[in-house]
Amino acid sequence: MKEFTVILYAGGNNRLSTDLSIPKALLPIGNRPLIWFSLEIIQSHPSLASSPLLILTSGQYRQILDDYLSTLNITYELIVYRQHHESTSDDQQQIQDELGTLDILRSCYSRIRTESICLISCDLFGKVNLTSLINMFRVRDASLSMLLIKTIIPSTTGKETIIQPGQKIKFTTEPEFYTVDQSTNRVTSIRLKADLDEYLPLRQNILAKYPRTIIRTDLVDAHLYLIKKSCLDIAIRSDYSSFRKEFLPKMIRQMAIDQPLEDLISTPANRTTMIRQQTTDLDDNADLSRLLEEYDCDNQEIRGGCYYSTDETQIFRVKHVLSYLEANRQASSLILSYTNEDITFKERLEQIQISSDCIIGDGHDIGKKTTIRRTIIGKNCRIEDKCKIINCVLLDNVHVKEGVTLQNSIICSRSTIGSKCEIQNSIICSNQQIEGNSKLNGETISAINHESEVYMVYDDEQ
Amino acid sequence: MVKPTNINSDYREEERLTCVLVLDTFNNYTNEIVSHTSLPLCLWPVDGRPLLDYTIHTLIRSGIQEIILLATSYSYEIRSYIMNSHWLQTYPKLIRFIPCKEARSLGDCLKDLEQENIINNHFILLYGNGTLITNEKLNNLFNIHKENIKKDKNCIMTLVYRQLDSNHFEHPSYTDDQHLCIIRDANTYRLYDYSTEYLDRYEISLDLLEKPNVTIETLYCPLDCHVAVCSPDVLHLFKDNFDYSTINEFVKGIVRDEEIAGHTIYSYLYETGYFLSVHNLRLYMKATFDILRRWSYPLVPEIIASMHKQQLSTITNPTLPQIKLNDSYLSFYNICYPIIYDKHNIYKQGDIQLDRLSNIQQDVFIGYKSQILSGVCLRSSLIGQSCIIGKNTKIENSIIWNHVQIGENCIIKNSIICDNVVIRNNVQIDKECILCKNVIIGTNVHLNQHMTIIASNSITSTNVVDEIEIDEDISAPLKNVKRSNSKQRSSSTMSSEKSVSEKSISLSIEETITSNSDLVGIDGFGRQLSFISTHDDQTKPIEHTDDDDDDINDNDKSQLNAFDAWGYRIEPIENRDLSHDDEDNEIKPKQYRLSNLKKPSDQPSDIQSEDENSEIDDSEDPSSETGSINETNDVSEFQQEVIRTLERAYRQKLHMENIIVELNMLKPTYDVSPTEFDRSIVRAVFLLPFEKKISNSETTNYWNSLKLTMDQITQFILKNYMKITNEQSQISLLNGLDSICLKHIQPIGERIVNILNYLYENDVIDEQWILQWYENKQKKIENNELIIKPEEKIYYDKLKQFVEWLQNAESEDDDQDDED
Repeated sequence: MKEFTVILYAGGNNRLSTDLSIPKALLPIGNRPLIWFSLEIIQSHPSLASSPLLILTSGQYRQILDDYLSTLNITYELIVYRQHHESTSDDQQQIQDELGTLDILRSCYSRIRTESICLISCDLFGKVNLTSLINMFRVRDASLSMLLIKTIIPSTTGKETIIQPGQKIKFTTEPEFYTVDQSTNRVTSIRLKADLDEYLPLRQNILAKYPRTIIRTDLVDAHLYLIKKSCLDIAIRSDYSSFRKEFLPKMIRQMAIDQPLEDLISTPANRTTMIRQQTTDLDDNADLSRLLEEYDCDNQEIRGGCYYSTDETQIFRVKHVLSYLEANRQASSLILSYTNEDITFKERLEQIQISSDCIIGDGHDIGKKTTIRRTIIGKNCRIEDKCKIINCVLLDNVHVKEGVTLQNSIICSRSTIGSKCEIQNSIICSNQQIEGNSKLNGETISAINHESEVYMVYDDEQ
Repeated sequence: MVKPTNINSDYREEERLTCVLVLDTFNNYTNEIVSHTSLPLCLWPVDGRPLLDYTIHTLIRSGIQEIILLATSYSYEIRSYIMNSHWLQTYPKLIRFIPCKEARSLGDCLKDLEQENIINNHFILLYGNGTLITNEKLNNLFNIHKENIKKDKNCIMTLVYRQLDSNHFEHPSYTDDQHLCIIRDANTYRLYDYSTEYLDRYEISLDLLEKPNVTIETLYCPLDCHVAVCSPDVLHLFKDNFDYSTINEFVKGIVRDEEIAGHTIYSYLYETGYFLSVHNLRLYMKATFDILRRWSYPLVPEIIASMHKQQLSTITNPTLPQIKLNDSYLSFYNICYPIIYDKHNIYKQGDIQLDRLSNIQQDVFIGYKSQILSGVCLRSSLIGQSCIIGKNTKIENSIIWNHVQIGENCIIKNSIICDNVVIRNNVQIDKECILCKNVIIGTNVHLNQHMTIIASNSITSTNVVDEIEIDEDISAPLKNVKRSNSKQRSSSTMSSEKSVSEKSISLSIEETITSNSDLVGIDGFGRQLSFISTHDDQTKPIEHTDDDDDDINDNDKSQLNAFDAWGYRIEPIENRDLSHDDEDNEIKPKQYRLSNLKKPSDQPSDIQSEDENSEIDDSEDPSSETGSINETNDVSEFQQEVIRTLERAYRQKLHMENIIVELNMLKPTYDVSPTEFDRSIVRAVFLLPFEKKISNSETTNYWNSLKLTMDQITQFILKNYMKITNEQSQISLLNGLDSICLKHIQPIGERIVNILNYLYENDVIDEQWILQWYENKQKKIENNELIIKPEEKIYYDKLKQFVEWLQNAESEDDDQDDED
């Protein structure tokens, strides 16, 4: 019997390149798709690596994801969920109607056969030390262990101020208040700022149990959970749609005040089915000891362990332009640490200056007197003579013509930059043609040009 | 142990480490019980030494060079103990004693200290009861405080706590009165919010959470060490803000006004070490047993005893004490016997008689010359000196003071038994009982838990001595400090005791207490202590809160009394009826109060003392329903307040308008009805000349002083409230005057002619109302509704004389008018 089932959420739309053929999970970072990094995180711990892996994705990306994953040496199971309640063509409506994590989980719940579940989303990027998290989960017999990470503005550039490429979009991250007991790393309450007015309430009965707690405002959820199936049972049977925003805070509150989690199942009908479910389990399952453990989980004090990483390699979620750029910059060292494979560009070409922190994909064609620094260049890119590319990310099949200066920009696949352009702090979406001698600074060029869509902001809600 | 020579020489004068001990809990319940034991809580014995000794030892270990004792009600005892102890001889400059007899709160004490003008450096303040037992060295706190000041120059105070385990509600060191919720910075330990209230939820403003560089930490119910390291400014703040009467109010005020005044408060949390601030009886018992179990090492009995012996032997001149120690209960502290420490934490002090067949289990202290007879079973207990424990008696977790006789086959659990108590055979005493001095418990009596048995009135002879002697010895601090206790209710026993004249004290000494034989048995002596006064204090603010917001102040004050002597929270009245067995302790006193009033045997003493205490006693009728007691008390208090206001107005020659405004303000505060208000005004006006400060001034004659006050203010007061055109108020004025005259025939009644004449001449009363009123009165007399007592005759004669004169004058006037 395996301990964990790993559920990797690989849904989410990619809004970087306007062609929807690439899902977010396959968004290249250092010329490797984002999901590769998540899979590496899972593989980094033996007990997760050997666990059954369920990858959740939406119907439209199933094939392309399957194509990619089959090239890797892993066993997995792809599960397709319905992405929207109704397949609407209206883009604006979609955001409202999108399914929450729990809705998605419900669709694959029958596949879970293990006692514990590891939920992970594919946009987690960085070197995650899972050992301590899993150890804590086991030692404390926790119902839930979650990874919390520090909210950091990603920066490796030191004193250089980071300018966000593209149209100026303000990312308002919603503060969350995690009340943690420092000595045991236990989370005693989670509050979203959106749910509060002016004050953060502290309940007396929680204070009485955990007299010395620290309210952390500098942490965010990494969307990596280890959870007991017994808790998830309740989550699945509840009416909540979102795991993180709705169910989790309530579950932690119930645990902190020693109330049964069953209270979260709102309708009595559901509760009775729950009980029936348990009794039928008893009939079906001959393995009594395992069953008792399950019962234990429900009745005993259920603990939610909390762990936050202060590793040197920063961990963050790739969810907006800045973090995407940052991830690209760190990709080479991270890949090196995972696979011992140095992917930085080593070839030395004549009359071309390429600094050692660059990654350049196969099939490159780089013209003479070109300078490339701190840049990631995808496959089959063509860069003509006398270009200057600093601090950029170029996806596949980009054609940069003669004498172009690119700085702090993202050029998406199959775009062409006309000669002698000067582009700073901009995003060029895929299949765009930029005419020669253009000067762009802090702009976003996309097919649907004047639409004020929030680029690169993936649905946080999973 | 630091050698005495180091203490006064090594440091420069300005860097003396000072510690201020406030030796009072300011809890009425505790003080009430303490008053029946004739020892202040800080001198209660803990393993052969007074509690205070352990604190002083702690402080000397910490290198404190100056200890300032602030004592309130028991300044005589504390002073005489200090004078006679070896402390003064071994460390002559160490201890300084400041009596604060008038102080009703910590704030008052600190104001007195400020007056003394001796603090100009940082100091450690031990509040609570000033008795902290710890094995940590406190001098480190000065450095912590200085570090805080270095980082934040606005820091004026560092509060000290000790972390408890997570299940602190069950922690034995936690008592309800330490309930506290602290919001502080996790890195700098700066205090941001502070609440002692018991709420379901506490709130932190999001602004605070989102401040940069601030990480909020919550600290719920840490062990309050009652230690604060203070900057000298703290005293000035206490002086300037006389509404700060407790540390809680102070901290709340500072935190609230942080943006205005810019002061900040920091906190320090000990994570190790033994700390116990003894400020209620439960903690007193815990301290005793903790010391027996050697948690407080090196502060354990045999080490302390050996140190005392050394120090006593080094004293060259034993005839030093100036005050003769005539109190036997204090003198035993001065003789020091060696203590033998045996295995299982058994301590034997000097010669004891221990029967071979007795069973001394563990954690037991047996005092000098005590006799333990056969079959006695002792466990976790302290037996004082010269006690006799009878055969087959079981004592568990109890503290027995000196000269106690316990009979055979008794069972005593978790109780405190004070000096000279006699317990006869087959007595069972359940937990948390206190038997105060001289109580006798009869045979076969079973005392339920949480009983307080007393055998004396709280007004003891020592207090009188206290009043006289100390005044002569030490010049009392200047009295021009504005005290918040001017509004202090005279109803509480402790304060009324102070407010009555010495004559009445000496009267009440002689009265003997009525024993309640139902409770303590036929051959017993003693009765249960009832908290009439304090309970009334308790009920009042609750009634008020429904009406108006002006009573916030009162509520704050009543918080002092929200906990009983054991440190339990006293539930609000409403809940009391619903609560059951588990809250027996809180119900008991209340119930007993009701039954107490019904019992005729108890009544006389109560009434008598009440009568002595109150100058206007017609409203005080204890036999009336309990429900009205609050009301009448309120009114009489209100009247006291009116009298005080008028007296002040008279002496300071205040403006008429101001006085009226002030009086009007009093009306909502005390929640009196308009008629009561009028009546009180009338009474106050005519009783004003009795006030000491007025009558003493120039003339001792009632009439003269009345005239003086009338001339200056009171006639205008009457004119303002009793409009000459309003029949009702005029009649009520006359009725009021009438009843006062009847009560005080001697100075007032016989002067009725002058009074009425004065009022008439100054147009306070119109003649027609006088005549009308007199007519009604006459009718009543004729109908025998009103019986004239012989001693009242003089009043009626005078009255008649005046009325006749008035009628004549009227006709004369008429005549004159006619002539004109």
